[in-house]
This record gives sequence, structure tokens and C-alpha cells, in this order.
Amino acid sequence: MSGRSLALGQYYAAKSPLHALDPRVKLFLSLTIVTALFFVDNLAVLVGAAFLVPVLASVAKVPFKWVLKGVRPLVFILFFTFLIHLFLTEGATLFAIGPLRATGEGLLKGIFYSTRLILVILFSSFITLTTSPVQLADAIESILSPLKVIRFPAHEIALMMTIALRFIPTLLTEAETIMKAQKGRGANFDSGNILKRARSFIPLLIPLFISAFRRADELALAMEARGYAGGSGRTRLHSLKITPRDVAWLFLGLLIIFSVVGLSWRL
Amino acid sequence: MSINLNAASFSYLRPKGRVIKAILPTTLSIQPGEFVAVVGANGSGKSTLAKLLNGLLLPTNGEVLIDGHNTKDADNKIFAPRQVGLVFQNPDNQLTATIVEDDVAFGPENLGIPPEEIRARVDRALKTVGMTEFKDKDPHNLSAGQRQKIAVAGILAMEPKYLVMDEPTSMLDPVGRRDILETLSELRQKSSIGIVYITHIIEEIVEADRILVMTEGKITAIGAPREILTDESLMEMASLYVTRPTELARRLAKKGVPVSKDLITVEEVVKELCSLK
Repeated sequence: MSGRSLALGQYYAAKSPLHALDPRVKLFLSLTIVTALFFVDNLAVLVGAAFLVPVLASVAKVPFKWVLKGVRPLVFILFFTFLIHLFLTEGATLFAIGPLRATGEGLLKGIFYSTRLILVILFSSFITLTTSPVQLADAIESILSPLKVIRFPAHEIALMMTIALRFIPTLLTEAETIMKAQKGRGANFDSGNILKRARSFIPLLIPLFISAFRRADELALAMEARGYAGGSGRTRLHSLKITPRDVAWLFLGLLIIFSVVGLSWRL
Repeated sequence: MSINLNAASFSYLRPKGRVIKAILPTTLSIQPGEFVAVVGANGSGKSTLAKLLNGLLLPTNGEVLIDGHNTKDADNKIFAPRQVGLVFQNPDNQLTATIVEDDVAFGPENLGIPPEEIRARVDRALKTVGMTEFKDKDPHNLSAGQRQKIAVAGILAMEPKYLVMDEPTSMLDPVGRRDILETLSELRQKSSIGIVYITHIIEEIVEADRILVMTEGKITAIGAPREILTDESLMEMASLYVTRPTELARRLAKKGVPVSKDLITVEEVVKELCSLK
């Protein structure tokens, strides 16, 4: 558990057109891409679309390797999806393990669905790769703000997100410190069965919670001392504005997406 | 124009109807451009005083006026923090954003200042504390001293007329402490901001215009540093220690060396000793 090496949402800081793009446009485009991927029913087109990932990575100035990292936590699910399709699709038998029959149709289907899933993950990861958490919170506030009319706390939710992001590394560092202190007094965090281990975390969690509440209290005071009085009447340093360039990127993105989907329907 | 406490007192209410009198009725005036230090033991009411000064706490009795505006008036909810900035002890618990300049902008944003003006203020404030090159960084990756400077910048960006600092160096290492003190003295030279500086580190306040000594919710003494810091019985009563130069001069005098007993800085002691034959 290292607080310092924590890469939140794997944001990759760089100066690229994709980083400069309005986060709302990025959110919209990636939602469209993900939806579009489910309309593509042709493996060849899907594989073709995969070549757009390194292109997008180079536009975003994010190393391709870094982009691929996003898939790693989901390798198990991908593998599982592949196996399910491989063995549970009707068709000509390729090979059999006990009662399980792998079919040729299953193999194709497995490859198709795993590729689709990988692409969904890769394309949507560009959002977190090229948008700082703060910008993302701002975008969410802006998208949800029409709901303020029905008293939906859009500003508060965005602020909560920002503050949570701000305090995650602080609390992780603190957890580390408390853990070391408890270990120094003979606490054992990593042996015994699950129940025993869970119980050994109580002396870690209680001081951590107490400290988090104290911090929250102090932060509330400090925010009040800085004139915070809710979302109304606030201005922003970086207010989100759609520029002609954002619109151009939006249309370029939509054009590519629709031509890929169109192509797959033609074939 | 000044901050005025008119017989202001403050009591905390605790469960079971217990009342803790944190500040006994106090009358005090703080001028713009003045450097006032507040010293006293833990629990002497220093932090409560700080919160009374910027309207974070409202006096139980009496009143606090900031440039003539009563902190009790609802209209002054924003006015008080705008005029009187407050920097707390723990830099970690004051920062709200994951990027330095976003955090510095938090105060001006709350005041509803237009974006271009916020930009200018943030740049100015970061320059004042010497943190311009860190404006895109995550505060979590900075040292505690640097984070405290960000907290100071966050307050300066609101352009207050008075700055109250509540033990801003007590959680910092020696380097961080020196950093904050240098920022402070630069601030005093370059602006006419009034500073109320709460501490229990005597060395930090030998240059103050006035020192207030607090004991058990009362201001027990108020005066120039030389007057206060060399008053042995007063310092002892407030659970404070004298500065090392004062201690040295005093011990030398006891041994019969003809030095003055009311020296408070290293420079003064050096000068006095060098003038001896």
C-alpha cells in the first residue's frame, strides 16, 4: 500500500489536442464510441477499428504501452468471456475437454466479443488518460447542472469528488503510518485466516476514521474561512467553454465513428 | 479602519450544559499594517481568538468589528473572510484541490470574482510566496512547508487587509518553518497587510510590533517584544521560555559580565559582547 505511487485514474499529463479538448466533448465522444462498438457486428471492421487506438494514443501523446495498461485489471474477465463463448456456442466440434466442447463458431465468437470488450476498455480509457480528475469533476458538474432546477446537488457532488480525490493519497499515507506504528507494537496484519486478518485491521481503521473525521472538521472550517458558502455565486478559474476547435473535433470524431459503423453494415 | 474587539467573549457549550469560557471579555484593537504576535500556552484561547477575528466564531457577548462591520450581521458572512484571512496549523487540512493553482483559486472563486481577475490574483499570490513554478503540481507531492505556502497563497489571493496565522509553522520541519517566516517578512515589507501571528515559538516574533500574552482566556500582557520577552515572571506565568539570546545575556549578567539583561536577538548579544573590552 504505497500512497506515493498511486496513479489516480491513470491520468497522463501532456500537452496534446486531446488533453485540450473540452472534457464534456470527450465524455460525449467516448460514450458514442462505446455505443457504436456495440453496433459493429463485423470482426474485420472491429479489428480495423483497433488500429485507431495507437493513432489516438499518438494524437494524445500518451505512450501506447501506458494505454494498454488499462486492460490489465480486466484480463480475467476477458479470458472468462472468451471461454464462455468458446465452449457454449453450438457448432462443429474443434476439441473437447470432458463434457465441454469447443466449437469453431465459438472460437470466432469468443475472439469477436473479447476484441469488442478490449476496444470498449481502450477507447473509454482515453477519457481518464487525458482528463485530470478536477476537469472531469467540472465536466460532471456542468453536465448535471440543468438538474439543479429540481434541487439536484450537482455542485456539491463535483466538490465531493474533488475533495475525495484530494484526500485519498493523504489518507493512504496516514494508513501506512498507522500500520507501521501498530506493527511496531506487535500487531500482525498479514497472517492467520481471513476472519483473523479482517479483525487485525480494526486497530488500523479506527484511528484512520477518527483522523478522517477530524480532518473533515478542520477542512470545513478552512473552507468557511476562505469564504465558501455553497455553489451559488461562485465563479471558476477554468470555466468550461466550447470553442470552435472543440466543435471541429466533435464533428471529426462523429464522422469517423459513423463511417466505421456504416462500413460494418455495408459488409 | 481596524479590527476591534469590544468586550468580546466566547464560550463553548459542551454536553450536559457545561460551559467552557475560552475567551473572557476582551477589548483589543488591531491596526492595518501592524504585526501583532499572540503567545500563550495550549488552551489559553489563542485559536479561539483567531476565529473570532474573522467571523468564523461569533462572540457570545460583546462584539467584533472589522473596519466597522459587525461580524454578527448576516450581511457580513462573506465580508469577514474577505477582509481577514485565516491560515491554520495543518497545511493538509486546508487544501481543497489536487492542483496547486486550482487550490489557490478556491477563495477568489467563492467571492465570485471574474475568471480573468482570478487568474491574475492566483499568479500574483503564487509569486508572493515563491511557488510559481509549482502551479501545476499536486500539493500532495510537495513538502509540508511548500503546502503551507500554498495555503498562505490561497488566502492572499482573496486580498484580505488582515492576515491571521494560527501556529502556521508548528507542523513544519526547520526548513519549512524558515520558508514560511521568510515569506512573512517579505509580505510585511512589500504590502501593508496587518498580521496577527499566533505561536508559541518566541524566536519567531522578536520583530513583532506588539506581543499579546494570553493565559486562560485573558490577555494578561501586551507590549513591545523587548518589554514582554525579558519579563521573566510574565513568561513563566504564561508557560513560555525566554529566547536563547536573552537566556545567555541573563546568565552572563549573573556571572558578573556587564551586559544588558534585556537583549532579545542574537545580533544584539553579539554587538553587546563585542563592545566589551
